[in-house]
Amino acid sequence: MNDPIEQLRGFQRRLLEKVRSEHDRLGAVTDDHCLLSDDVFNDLSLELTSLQSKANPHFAAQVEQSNQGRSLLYHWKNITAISTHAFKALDWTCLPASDRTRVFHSSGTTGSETSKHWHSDTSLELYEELLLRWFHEHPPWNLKQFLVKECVFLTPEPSRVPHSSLVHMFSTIAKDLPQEVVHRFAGQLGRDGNWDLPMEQTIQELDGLKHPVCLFGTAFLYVHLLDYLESKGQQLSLPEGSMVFETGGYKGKSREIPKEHLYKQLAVKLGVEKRHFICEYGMSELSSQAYDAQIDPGNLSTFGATPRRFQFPPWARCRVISPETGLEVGYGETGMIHVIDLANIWSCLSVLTEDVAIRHKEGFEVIGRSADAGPRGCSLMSDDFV
Amino acid sequence: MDLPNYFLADLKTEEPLNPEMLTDACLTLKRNRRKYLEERTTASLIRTIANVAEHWSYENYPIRQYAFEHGPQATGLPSATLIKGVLDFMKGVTEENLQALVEQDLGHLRRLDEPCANESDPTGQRMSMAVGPELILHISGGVLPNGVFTNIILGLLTKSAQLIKCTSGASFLPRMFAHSIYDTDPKLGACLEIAEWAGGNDDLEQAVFEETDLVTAMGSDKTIADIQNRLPQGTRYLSYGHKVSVGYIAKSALQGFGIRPLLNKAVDDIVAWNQLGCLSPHVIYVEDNPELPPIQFAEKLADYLKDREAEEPRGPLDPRQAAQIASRRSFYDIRSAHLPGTVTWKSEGSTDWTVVFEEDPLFQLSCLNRFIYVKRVETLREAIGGLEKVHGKVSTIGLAASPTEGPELVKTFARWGVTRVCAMGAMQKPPLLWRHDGRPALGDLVTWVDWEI
Repeated sequence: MNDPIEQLRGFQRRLLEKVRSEHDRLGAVTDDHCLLSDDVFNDLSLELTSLQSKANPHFAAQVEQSNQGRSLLYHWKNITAISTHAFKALDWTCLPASDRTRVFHSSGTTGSETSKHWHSDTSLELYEELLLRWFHEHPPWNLKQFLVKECVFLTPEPSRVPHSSLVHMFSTIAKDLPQEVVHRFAGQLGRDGNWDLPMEQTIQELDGLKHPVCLFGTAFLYVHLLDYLESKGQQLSLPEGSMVFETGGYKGKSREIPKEHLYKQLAVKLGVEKRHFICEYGMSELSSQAYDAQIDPGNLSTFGATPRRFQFPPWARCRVISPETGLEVGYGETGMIHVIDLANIWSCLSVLTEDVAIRHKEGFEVIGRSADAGPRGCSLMSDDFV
Repeated sequence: MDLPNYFLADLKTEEPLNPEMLTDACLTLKRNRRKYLEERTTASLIRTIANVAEHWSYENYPIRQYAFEHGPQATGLPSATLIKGVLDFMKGVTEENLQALVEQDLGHLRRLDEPCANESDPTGQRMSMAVGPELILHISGGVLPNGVFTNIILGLLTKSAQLIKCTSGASFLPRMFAHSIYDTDPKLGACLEIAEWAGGNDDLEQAVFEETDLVTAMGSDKTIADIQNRLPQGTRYLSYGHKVSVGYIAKSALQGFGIRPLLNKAVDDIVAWNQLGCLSPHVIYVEDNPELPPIQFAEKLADYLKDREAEEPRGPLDPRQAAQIASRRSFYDIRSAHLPGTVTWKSEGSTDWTVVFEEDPLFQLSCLNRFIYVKRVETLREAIGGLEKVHGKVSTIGLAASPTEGPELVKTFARWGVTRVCAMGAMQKPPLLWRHDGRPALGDLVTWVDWEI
């Protein structure tokens, strides 16, 4: 079997089998998960690097270039990282053109070029299964007693934004909800292509709820919601047990509030306890997501009580690397987020993001985007350089 | 050395500023202006200002020592960069230059002291005097001090009281300059106030707006528009938005012995203020030529930057700024591996310096901190085509061309909208006489009074 596409399909089958069998064996992700073993993860990531090099000449050239003068690639930490900027300039995909049935674009800052992550039916199957498996490991979905009776997604409907990986993720979560949980997409697509919320209607509906609800939205949609409530002098009191799922940055689509302030204000304005917030870190260039919740199944009362640290699932690893040296920083130090995502079988497993984080023993803490550094002098600056 | 608490920004108290404190400060400034500044002659002011600048040239001047010792930590700028930048500025503040500035912008050295004849008036029946605002509010952005230093000097010349509002964490160098004025002439120092708060604080800003005749602001387009929208009707406003600058090297400059000095000057421009100023180059356009083709110019520039790094290190960066460089380098590594026409050179194991050569003339915004693009062009027209996306935003062109070719190139740049052309190596050293963004810096502050005899 020398066809790299067939080999990648085989890789996908084996990865899914491993994940499923570990779930059957352990019930949930524990320290015993085989993919948490460095040897197993290393073998798989090196194999995938080799397969992606065969299927994608761009990646092959990059691996070749970064390995010049070095011994053979022997550890996943040395796999060359492809910058998310590069997803704007080239197609980082192993999918034959005929299989590319879906594409996700990065949201990007206003007016900037967006990156492309191509998908096929096969790659989406993998994406959706792994997405749900890691999502289910987090409250409240991992709780025996499921309190939330309704999910309100603040984004537009999936059919209106087919190229949004975020909305596809929400739609996958929505389809998987227990039968008794109702859901709806409350957002709209404005004429300018920006996402919007029909505020009056949304707030009226939320105000009348009698059962716990989970809101799903991006940071900038929540800021719009807060600003509206502020301007009307309104405050909601969502039923006890309600949750807030927050993801994504501001991308220049609203004023920016430090995350802690955002949560504080949302807690006050929506009447949701701060410990009932869950934050997701993901991007269109990746197939795996990180959550900042504590993995403490069965105990909603302690959820979110400890400092928030993001963790990826066992099939993805995050390194926080020094922008100066490219080496991993020490605990408590700041660097760039580099993700090795085995679920990125059909694109590129090693992605260097523009996000900056502090590395902690228990995970990582996102502190912003490199572009947020902003000008310190009087020169015009912008990160939308491509 | 402990500096006395002359200015609000000197106070180390945790007590935040409030509108009443600022209103009081404005009223005191106006009172002091009437007592100490209004009747001072321009000649005396010029002497004092030149004295202040001269003090900065003495190595053992205590305020200079204090500023250079604590400046790097306070501003985040590396020591060598900061010292060079400040001293270069002070060197230009001489009596001759200050007199020339008054004469250039106002036509007469005593124009701010009394009615003076107008040379251009054929009848000889009219005299004019210029009067400065009673109180100027300068809103500064960023940590680079030259713009604020210049504003303070201009305001003193117009005999105006001044409140300088610095953004959070950026008041150190303006404070040091103000202390040196106080130290030289306490009465002049009493007509200055330096305060620091995060921009957009409407309560504080409205309190000052109410007392101010003229507001000057440096910042992003958004900041500038925001201030304009909040100013009371009738308050004059001078704004200076963020700009970019570029280098242009004509083939006539790339000959024989001129090449080495030119490369050194290009490096001077890149390392001055670590490229953070609006007069620093983002891109250097190089005309194609057989002597030193643009790609080779870029390679040599990288060698020179490497050597300069050893003498004048860029210094550590905030991880987010370093991440911008790393991210952009990663992009160009990929581009150069897959597309012809792109080559990069960079410091190993650090983000200290980066040179990106591209065949494509399209202007790119650099992420600064010694990250420079070199682009090949056939003609100036091609470069101007590449610059179209920053039309109206280009401040300075650092030009290298033969003396015969120079005037034609300058004419083309001027008609396209550039307001300053200087020699390579002088981009970050504008003279005091510089017309900022094409406007007379001193002339814009004053109101004219005509006396028809």
